[in-house]
Order: sequence, then C-alpha cells, then structure tokens
Amino acid sequence: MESARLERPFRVIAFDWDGTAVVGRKDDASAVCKLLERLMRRGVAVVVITGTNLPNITSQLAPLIRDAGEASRRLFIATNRGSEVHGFDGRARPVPLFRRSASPEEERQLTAAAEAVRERLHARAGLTVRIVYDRLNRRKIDLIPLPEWADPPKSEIGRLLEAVQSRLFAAGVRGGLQEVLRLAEEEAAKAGLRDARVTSDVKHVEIGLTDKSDSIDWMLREVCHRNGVRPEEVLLGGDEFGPIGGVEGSDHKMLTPGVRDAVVVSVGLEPGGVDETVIHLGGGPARFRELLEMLADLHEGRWPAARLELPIAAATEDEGWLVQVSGTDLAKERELESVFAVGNGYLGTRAALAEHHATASSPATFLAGVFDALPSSSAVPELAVAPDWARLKVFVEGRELVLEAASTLSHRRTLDLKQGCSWREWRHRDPAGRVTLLRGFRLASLDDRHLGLQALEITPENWSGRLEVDVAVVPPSGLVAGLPVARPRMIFAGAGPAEAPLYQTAEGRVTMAVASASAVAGAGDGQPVTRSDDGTFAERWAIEVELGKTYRVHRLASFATSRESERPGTRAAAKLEEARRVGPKAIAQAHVEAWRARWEACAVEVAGDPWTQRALRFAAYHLISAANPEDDRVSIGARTLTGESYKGHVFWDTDVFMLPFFSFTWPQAARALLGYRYRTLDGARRKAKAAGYRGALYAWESADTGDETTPRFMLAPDGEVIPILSGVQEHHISADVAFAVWSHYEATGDERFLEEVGAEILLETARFWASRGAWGEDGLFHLRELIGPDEYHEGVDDNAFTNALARWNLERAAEVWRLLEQRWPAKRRALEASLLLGDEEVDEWRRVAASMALKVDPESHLIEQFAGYFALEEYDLAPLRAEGRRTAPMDMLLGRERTLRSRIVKQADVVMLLQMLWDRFPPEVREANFRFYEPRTCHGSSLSPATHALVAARLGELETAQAYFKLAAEIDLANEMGNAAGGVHAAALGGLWQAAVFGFGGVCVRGGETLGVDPHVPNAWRTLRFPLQFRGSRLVVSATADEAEVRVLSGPRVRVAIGRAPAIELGPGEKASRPVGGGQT
Amino acid sequence: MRPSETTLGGPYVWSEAGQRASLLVPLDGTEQAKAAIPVARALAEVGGGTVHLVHVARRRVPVARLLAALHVQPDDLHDAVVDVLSGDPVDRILALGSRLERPVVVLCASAPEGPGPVVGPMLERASFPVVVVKPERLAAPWSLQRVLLAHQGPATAGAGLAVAVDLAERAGASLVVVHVPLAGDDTLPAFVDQPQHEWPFWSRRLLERLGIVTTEVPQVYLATGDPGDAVVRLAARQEADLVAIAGPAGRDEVVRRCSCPVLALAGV
Repeated sequence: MESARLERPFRVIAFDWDGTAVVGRKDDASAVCKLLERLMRRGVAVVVITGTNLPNITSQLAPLIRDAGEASRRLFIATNRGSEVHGFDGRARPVPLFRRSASPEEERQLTAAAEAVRERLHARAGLTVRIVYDRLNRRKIDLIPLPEWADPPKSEIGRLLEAVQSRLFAAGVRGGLQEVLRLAEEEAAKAGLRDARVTSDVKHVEIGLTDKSDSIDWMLREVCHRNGVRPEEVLLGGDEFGPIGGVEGSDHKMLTPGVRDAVVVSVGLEPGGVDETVIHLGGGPARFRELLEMLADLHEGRWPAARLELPIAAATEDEGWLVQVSGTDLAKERELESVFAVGNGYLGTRAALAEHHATASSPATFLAGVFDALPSSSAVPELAVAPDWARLKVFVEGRELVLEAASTLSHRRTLDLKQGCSWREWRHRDPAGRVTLLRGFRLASLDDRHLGLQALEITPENWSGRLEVDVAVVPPSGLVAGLPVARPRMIFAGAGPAEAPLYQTAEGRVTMAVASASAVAGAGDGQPVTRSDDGTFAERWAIEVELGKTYRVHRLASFATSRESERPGTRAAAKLEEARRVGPKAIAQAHVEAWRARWEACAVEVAGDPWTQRALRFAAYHLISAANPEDDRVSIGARTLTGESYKGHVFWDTDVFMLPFFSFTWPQAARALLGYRYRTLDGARRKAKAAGYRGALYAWESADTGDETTPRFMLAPDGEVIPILSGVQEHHISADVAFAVWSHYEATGDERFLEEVGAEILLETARFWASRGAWGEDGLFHLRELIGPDEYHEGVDDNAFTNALARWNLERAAEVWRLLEQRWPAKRRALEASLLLGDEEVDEWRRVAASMALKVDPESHLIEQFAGYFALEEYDLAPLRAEGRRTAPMDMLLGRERTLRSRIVKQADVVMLLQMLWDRFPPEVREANFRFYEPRTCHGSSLSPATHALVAARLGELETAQAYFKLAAEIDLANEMGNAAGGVHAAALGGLWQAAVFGFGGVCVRGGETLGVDPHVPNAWRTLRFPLQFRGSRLVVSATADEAEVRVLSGPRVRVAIGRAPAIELGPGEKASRPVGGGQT
Repeated sequence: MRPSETTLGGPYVWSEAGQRASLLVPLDGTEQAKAAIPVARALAEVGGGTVHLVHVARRRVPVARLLAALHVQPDDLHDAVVDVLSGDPVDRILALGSRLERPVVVLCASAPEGPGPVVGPMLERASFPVVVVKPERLAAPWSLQRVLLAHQGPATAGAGLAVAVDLAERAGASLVVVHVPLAGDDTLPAFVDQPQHEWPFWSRRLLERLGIVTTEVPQVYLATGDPGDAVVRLAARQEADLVAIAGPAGRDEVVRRCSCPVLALAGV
C-alpha cells in the first residue's frame, strides 16, 4: 500500500539534502542530479532543503545546475535552515529569491543566547562545547567538538547519539540532549528572541531565527500556490522525521500544517520510529535515488509499477468476500461471465475469458446510456456493445494458451467483492509439458469511472523460452451469445497518443472512444509491436523468459463517448495519458478505497450464516457496480451492465426493487436514478398522449429517451406471433416511479429534490391516473384493461396493486401540491404555468383517490387481485413443488391460454402491494392475503422470491422467509437454470437487500419522518447489523432475535422507533436499544 | 457455485468418411410398404447411404420371385441391396441392422391409424434411428427441406439429436427445434421475467446445451400441454418434411398423427 501512495505523479518534490540525497558533502551526486534533471524536464519542481549555505552544496549540484538548461528554473535550493532560497535563471546562474536577514539586535541576541548555553554547560561540569558563529541567522553549539566526530556521516547517527549523550551524562547533564535544548530555549527567551528556532542534528544544538518550516512555508507560498499545486501533489523527503535521543529529528520541522496532505517519506534509520503520516522506507540516499528513478519513470510514461507487485497484490483473504468457481466448465461460461463481471455504473465488462473462446464465451463491454438499434423497422433501442478492451492472449513458444480441460491443471475465478475486482488463476500445461501459471485481475475503476485496469502475472514454472503477449482492443462481432446485437462501426482509426479510435453506433447517435496501453515488466527496454486492422488494435510483447521468474502485464483502458464530450477521442486519449502518469498502482488503490467507502456505507453483516453473508455482499456488489451518481441521464437496466439480455432497458425493477438500497446507503446515486426519470418525463408524456391520456405514463421498457421500447410482438414459444401487452397495459410503472420519488424523499428528507425533481413527477403521474380510469355506475373509479405485476393475467380490470398504487399516487400528488404552496410558492407558480394545473384539478384527484375501486372482503380479509380473479380455475402447484421445482414459468409449461384461465400468479402482486404499502393494511389483512396468494404463486419471475421473503419476515414467519430468501439469493449465485448468461438479475439483488433490511431488519419509515426498526432476526443469524443513511444522518442498526439497537454516528438528530416502543430522538454518538421479536412488524 | 467439469457436447454425424448409412426398408408385399422407398432413397442421397430392401418371410424365397411378388420396379432396385431373411420380422431386421454400418430403418406404418404390429416393436427395441412413413404417401416423391426436431431435454439429447441435426445440415434443410418439457426438466428456466427478452436468450442457450451448431440458427419452440399433440400441431404449422423425435414422450401420437415421415431417435 505504501508503494501505491508513492507511485503518483508528484508535481513538487522537496527534500533534505544531507543524509537523504547524499551520504555526505563529498559524495559524487551526479546520479541523483541526473534523476532530478529528468524530473525537472517533465515539469516537476525540485526544492532542496538544507541547513547549510549555498556554496557548500552547489559543487554537488553542479551537474544538475549545468545540464538542466531551462528546466533549472524549476530548481530551488532553500539554504541556511530556512533563511534563504535560491533559484536559477536557466543559464546555470543562481538567483536569490528569498533571504531573511537578522538585524544587529537579533545577531546580538543569538550570540548572547548561544554563549549563555555554553557558559551554563561549562559552569555545571566543565563541559566544553564550541560555538559556530558564521552561520546565517543562527548559532550552532557543537556538543562534541572532538576530531573523531568532526564530520560524522548520517549513517553513524546512532553512534553519534550515544557519544553525545555519554558526553553530556558524564558531564552531569542528566537530561542529555533534551536538557540542552531546553537550556537553549530558555536562554534564547532570556536574550529577547521572541520566536527562536531551537533545533538539533545531535552533534549540534542550534539557536536561530528560522528553520526548515520556513523553507516549507516559502515553497507552499511561492511554488505550490502560484502554480496551483495542491499539497497532495507534493512529496517531502528526509531522513530525520522521527525523534532522536528524545528530541525531534531535524526534518520534523518540515511537517507544517500546510503540508498535512503531502506524502512524506523517510529514508533515514529513524531509530526512534516515525509517526503514521511518514512512510519509512529506510535505505538512505540509495533508496531515495530508487524512489526518484521510479517517479522519473512514471513521469516519462514508463510505468514503474510494472517492476513491483500487481497493482492489487492479492484477493481479499476473508472468503466471506469472495465468490469462487473452479474448473473449466465451458457450458457455464456465459453465466460466469455475468456473475463475475466488473462495473462502475459508467462501464461494465463481462468476465469473459481474456484469451477469448469462440463458442463458449460472450465478451462484451457496455457503456451506460449508449443505445443503438439493429437495422430493422421493428427493432427497439438496445444497449450497444463497445469494443472488448480486455482481450489478452498469451503464447508460449508460439503456441497460444487456450482454456480447455485437457491442458488445464487448475483454473479458478474469484470475484473479490471487497476490492471490486475479478480475479482469475490458471495453471496451464502445453503438449510439450511446459507449465505456465497465470494470475491476474481486471477492474472497472470506481474512483475514475472512465478507466479500466487489467493486470496479469505470468510465471513459467518449468521452462525458459519465448513468451509473447497480445494485448488488444477488439470490436464487437455483432453477435453476443449467438444473438445479433447492434454493432458500432469504426469511423476513425485514431491518431496515436493524441486521439483514440472512434466507434459510432449504427444509428449514428453516439460515438465511443476506447484508448488502451499496456506495459510488460521484464520486457527490458523492449517495446511492443503494434498492429491495427479491422478496428482491432493490438500490442504484441515478445520476451525471453526464465524459469521460475514472474513477468507482469498491465493494461489501462480509457473510455469516452459523445454523450459527455464533444471530442471523445481526445478525451479518452488524454485520460489514458493521465492514467499512465498516475500509474496502475495508484489507480488500483483509489479504486479499492472507493469500494471501501461504499462498503462502509452499505455492508450488511449477518453473524452465524456465512452463505447469507456472502449473498448479501454479492447483491450489494452488483448494485454498486451498476450505479453512477455522476450521471442522471442514465438508469440501471434489468441486467445492469453485465449482459446484453433485456437490451439495457429500464423497468420498474429499478424504481421499486433497487432504489431503496441506494436511498438508504448512497443517496447521491438514488438521486441520479430519479433524475433519469425526471429527464425522461417528456417521453412519459408522449406515451400518455399517444394512448389518449393526460400526464405522464412511463414506458414499461425505457432506454435513453423515455419513449416506450417494449417490443410490440414476439414469436411465442409455441410458435405463434403474439402481441406484447406489457407496453400497452402494464401502467403501474407510473405509480411505481411516483412511489420511488416519495420514498426517496422520506428516506433522505431531501427537500430540494422534492421541489426540483420529485414534485413534477408526482403531479404528472397523478394527472395520468385521473385520466386513465372512469367512474362506474357503482360510484367508484375504475381502472380497466390492465396488467398488474402478475403478467399471466392480461387485460384485467381493477388490478388491486395498480389501483392501490394509483390511489396512493393521487394522494401524494395532492399532498405535494399543498407542500408547494407552503414551502416553494415560486415553484408552484412555475408548475401551475407549465403544467396548466390548478386547485380544481387537484381536488378532482382527491375525489378519484377516495373512490378508487379497491375492496377488502370484511370476512376473509382478502383482496381480490383483480375483478373476477376469484372465479378463475384453481390449479394446484403443490405437485410441482413436491417434484423439487420451487419456481416455474407456468405459462411455458401450461401454455398462455391455460395460465390465463387459472388462479396461478406469476409473481407477487397482492403480496407486492402489502410490501409497498404495509402500513395501509391491518395485520389480519396482511396475514390473510399472504396465506392465500403465496401457495398460488409460481414465482415465474425472479422478482417474486425476495418480496415473499420480506413479507414473510415481517409477518414473523421466519422459516418461510428464510426459504424464500435463499431462493432469491440463489438466482444468480446457484445459477441452476442458466438464465444469468444474459446478465445478473438486478431487481432480485435489490430485493435481497430489502428482504434483509426491510424484512428481517424490520426497517420502515413511519409517519414520513420516523425510522421504524422492528426486526425479526432468525436465531441462526445470531446478529444482523447494517448501516443506513436516514434524513442526513448515518446510523447503524444491530439486532438479535430479542433486541435491537440503533446508534447514530453523525448528522442531525433523527426520530427512531424501535420495536413497539414510542419514537425517540437520537443525536450523533447516541444509541438506544429495545426488546423486539414476535408478532408482525 | 460448485465447480464442475462438464463441457459442451460434440457432434455425431449421419455418416463419416469411409462409412455410409444403411437404410433398411422392410417390404411385406403391400403397396403401402413401398411408400418408404422414396423416403429412404432421398435420405440415402442426402446423407450418403445404401438402401436395403428387406423382406422377411417364413421361408427363404428366390430374390427374383420375391421382387415380382413385391411389385418392385426396376428403378427401385437401382443402387440398392435386396436382403431376404426368414424368421420374426422385427428380430431379423434388428439383427441385420446390427451387422451393417450406421443402420437406419425406414418403414411404413401398416395402418393409417397407428404404427402397426412391426413398427411398434421396432420403435421400442431399435437402438438405431427408425423412420416411420405414412402409407398414404405411396410413391410420391419426397425431399427434405424442413426438419422439426422434438427433444425432451438433455437426458434425451446426444447422438440421436446429432443425427437429425447432421441430416438437416447435409440436406440444406431448415431446422426447427421443439423442446418438450417433462416432469423434473431442469432445462426450463426457473424464471421468465419478461418472455420477450428471456425467450430468444433461453432458446440460444438451449441450443448450446444440446450441442446444436448449425449454419443457420434454428428456431426454437416449446411444446406446452400434451407433448405429442403440441409436436403434431407445430409440425403441421411448420409444414415439416420430417419430424425427428428424441425421447419417448408423445412419440406414438406423433407417429400416428403426423402426415410427414417421423424419425424416432429414442434408442440411439
């Protein structure tokens, strides 16, 4: 980790000279001068900080001053312990830049103070010390003026200290060096020096007017501030930061508050240790030169990290953070590529075999928001496949290494959830018996979303010979998993490092740029042979390798599109150059740190159930990988950026199943996701208008514009061409979006969001519902020709879920209309004008809501899923379950017509309604409906099991809840049905988090502003613990089967109700616990 | 996730270099039985094979006399082998097949309403492909342009499936794959969130799992409800020239009701 902190393109390097850059003044400093010259020629400012005067070190720095030419203007020598700074004019002539001159009175005071110290030491025990007077602004008191210690090298600091202390102790100075320093401070004060600087290099104690902190202050002021250099871009080097003999080392003075964020490194012995802000390398000037060489390489784009270990040294040790698969199961390759995919919300890359496999593998990278369409009149927009940036082939003696069972000694994939990267380890034996070990990872940087990093180390275990590595960017083939996909075409082959190759979508709306560069450690000074054809760019490295040695390949890739830049080619190229300068290690470190921050905000901990623990981390991993808080023009597709299935389309999955995770753990990301719904409001208005309604009807399937992208027809499994009605009838999506808006507002208390974004969505969706239905003769308001979440039943009237959510939507819109009047009258006037909306219409919404057709049978407490549902044919799913099928797509088994006539429910519908509007229904209604609908639900949708887990947990039916939780968790992880091949099931993953936190954790928002926590924790889990963000505060909830605790970490005071206890207020640092368990949440 | 070592299945072909299929056409002297000859000849041409006209009598009879009795035309004999056997027809034909390269029995269902006394046992016992031809075809020419392949999950996949796929490829015929789900079928997806997106994807994955690799990607259908009935309806709708059925479920109904020849692969 320390090397990662150092592998950065520092813009200013400031360091002590003696002991750091050179051992002594008589040393040949040409090597260090050459390194400094390389850095200065790359724009780095070099500040040499020394206690001595300029002539004493210019002889050593002469080669640098002479050869650097114009670059010498970036050389600054701070001399005389902070009293002077010299620059150079580009012609080897020094230019004084700063000088502190003592007044005659100060000179007198300095002398008086030094002599007083000398007298006191002498008077006490006859100790002889010598004063060095001819130093600018200071007096040096030599505590050991003996010939053998005339010019001690820094490497002898330990012995010197011992000799000085012995001398002082022998003379009766029991406090040793520290006591002399105290004496010096006392005498300086007595002499009238108000801000005397008393320092020691062990041999001397100095009393002066300045010290190295003045050099640092000057550097910050004149070098950093004037040139816009931030403290973190400064490297401070020295050899004496830690204490020596109980006193601060001479370089400690450089650690001023102004350089708190600088990187500080010591190459000294530091016998007293250093504090944690200092990186202690040791090794003296030789190590310092190594450091300078590494930095010079870095600035020159030579990727010094390649000499070190992998940018991330190893996968996380704790297996609870790992998903692993061993073997060479090519039949499951596509599923694994989805499960092990990496992403950051801007780009997502499937974990395809780097070397590629023509039939088993589906390599694909997706860029959020880049849609395209196949050239067909019926084609709908689909997520375009970007060029494959992770293609990497290895050749041993000319033979390519290909994954196949016969030649594979071992093969393991590891998804490192904690560090956000996907590892692969492969031991291969070729027909000649050569065994090669390959180990590496890839990641999509969470710190800089436009970057991808791939690293591989190759070890020839039993052979020496020729190794070739092909590092390529390959355009998509037009087929993914054998299915045709929209394929961007190359429109510009690139212009070297200045401009990256460009690919344009078939529709021509978006241009993508991908730049890639690789480095191979061990290739000596060799350079790769590059080739470019048919849109493929490859760098081929050829090296002679030795048995047992390890060789490392790093590849950086940068991405840009015309969505965010007018010149994506230039932007991607510049990004790559910047990345090369920063280096893979620092990029990897920043990425891991970004993941650490995310995990801190969202990691659910389940003690006692490692499988569940891993499943929850897996869910959060893919949710985090899918979101981008920096872009509110994109949302998360049903299969995120891990696969081409569902074409990247956005469904209610995002708003209802995924959004709560973000609202409660990453509000910025949630805000961006709802920003997408706001930005696509016009598309929703167009859809409503085209269907003859008012307001906003969101697309069932939404891409970049918000227009409906659901295919209109499909060739059904039985060979019939059938219409797809979800785009026409599944209108609950509008209420789902409204629900997400209000829920986010309640969770975050983000009033600005409600005013600027949420209000208009709530109003426009409410307006849609009022226009969507009709008053019946029974005096009720009916919504007809609907599809609810249970999509087996099309064209139904008064789907309970839809009606209830529509009513809720209308009520919230009326409420927000009132809030606008109270809090944001200007916004309300603006909306009145832009939407042509007034009180009369809102009053009508209230009437519609109050009369919405939605009945609960007073005796059975049942809610009829839709009008006529109870009259349908019963179908017993029990035999199917007895067979071991816990879920089944019954429409596929029975046929569409038969399913339509039956009571079989595809997925949670009324049960979903219970989940979303829990507080709206009394306990007996929740229980009765769960018991009625649960056995009739075949869970033909992956959205269903987690919802059942959540509701069962809240009902206190923990065995059932755990069974459904496991079922939901296995959707991608067990991967028994093979439909993860097209990407992970993001809604199920979001549902899993909700089942844990809202279900077992019993979290809900009560009365708009109170966090309810009423857990039902299974005994097997022992404890359930999770962090939350609620209305600007950060909290941690911990629960067992019997007790729950809420602790507020930071933020404003919040209202919390634990169990059935009354709500209380908690502030930062406060906690409360209450007994819980039993009954319904 | 558990480690495993399965790999994609490899192809099995109709005939290979140096080997030809042996198409055994049982003839019992009826006109209807000869309905199998054009189908066998076409298959031999498409896949490479030799037609064997097989007669099993209680006693051996001279070939010339037999041919006259069977009303076999000279054209039917072109490039064909005549085998005259004695004993139980099913036993003898199966025994003959076991001695020949890549045997395929092509025979006529003796009665329009069902497989008949020979066809039934043949379907049950044959360990090689059996093609059943409807008697009403008579001598009408037959060509292979569309093959409907009904399979019943990976348990029934394998060599038999590959025979049909290979045959379709050789003929340049389009292939339609029908998945007939059975109890405990683990091929069906556990979830179909949105069929418009899941179905094309699952179809392609099914083909991969079955090891079906063809020049043109086959359309995949699902037989819902009664398997035999679903296959018969699809065959009619698709105007299939040959229905290949791997697995026993619904086979007899398909043989009974399909108007086109049926290639039974259950025992392969």
